[in-house]
Amino acid sequence: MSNPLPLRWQRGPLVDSKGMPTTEFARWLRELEQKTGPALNVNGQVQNTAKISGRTEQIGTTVGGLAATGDIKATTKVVGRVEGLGTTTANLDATGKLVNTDAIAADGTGSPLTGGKRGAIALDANNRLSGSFRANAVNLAAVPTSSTTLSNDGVSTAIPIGAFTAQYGDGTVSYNSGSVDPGVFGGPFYIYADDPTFAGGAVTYQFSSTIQNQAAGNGRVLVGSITTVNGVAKTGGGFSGGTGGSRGGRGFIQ
Amino acid sequence: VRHTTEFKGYRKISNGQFALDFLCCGEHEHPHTVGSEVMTDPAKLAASIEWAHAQAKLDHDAAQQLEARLAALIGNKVEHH
Repeated sequence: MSNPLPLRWQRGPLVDSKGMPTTEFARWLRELEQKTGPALNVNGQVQNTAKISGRTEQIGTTVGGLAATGDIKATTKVVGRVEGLGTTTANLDATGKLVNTDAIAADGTGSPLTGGKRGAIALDANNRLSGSFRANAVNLAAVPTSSTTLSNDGVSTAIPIGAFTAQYGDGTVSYNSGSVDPGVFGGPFYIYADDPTFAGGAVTYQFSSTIQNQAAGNGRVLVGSITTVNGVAKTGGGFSGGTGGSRGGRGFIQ
Repeated sequence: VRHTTEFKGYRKISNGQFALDFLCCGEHEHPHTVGSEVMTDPAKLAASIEWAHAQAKLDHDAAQQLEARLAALIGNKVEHH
């Protein structure tokens, strides 16, 4: 069937002597119906079952990914992908840039820019740590704000640790109370807790009679020391060391 | 003031020490660490746990009293000329 249809019927009459369409004109009408019938409905609109030349799918499928405004729907997929374009482009801004450095896919060992972001937060313009709270070195100075934090009543071997606050360069950090029990009188007992992130609050206190253990962990907070005596009440720690111990702090080993 | 203390659990930490967790009135935590001298002697362990119960109560009591003192000051007005 040629396209456009030949108009041979124009060379003669449209109808014969009986008023019926001529053979030529009837053929033209039939071919016209064969072409337009599947493509147009009675209102002259393109039917969604019509096909575009050279394509196998119906036009309803072809344009199914477009909204009424002609915009691409967010649910439309790129060939070979399972997610909708809305998901694919969700991390891009109006200028086509990533909205966040965390939107870069991991390379198998984690997102490198997430690490870069951490580095950017932790360093100042001179590539130095942006504050002492960014360091977890054991020799970061801090001083307790209480005169004593440790005590012993000379009756029990247990040593209560009062809630205390430590003063750092970046500010203060407060720790909850607690206790340790060496099970014997004597000492000095060096009391400490590990808090590498300067979170403060509830910590697990430890004790040791070995002075070096105060420096045996990065982020170690020193409460101070106390020597306990059976029958004699003692205090320790804090910024004074009390009556039976040494001062606490951080990087402040006595 | 009545308090109820509870021994919630324990975990082994370093140097043969154990961290024991106590809770007073279901809200106030008291960590208590015991050494190997205590852990290897049932009598000392029992005494230490009993002591920690009492200490947890004292801690909670002290914390409540501090808050009560502060709460009592709320609403105080001072006239300035």
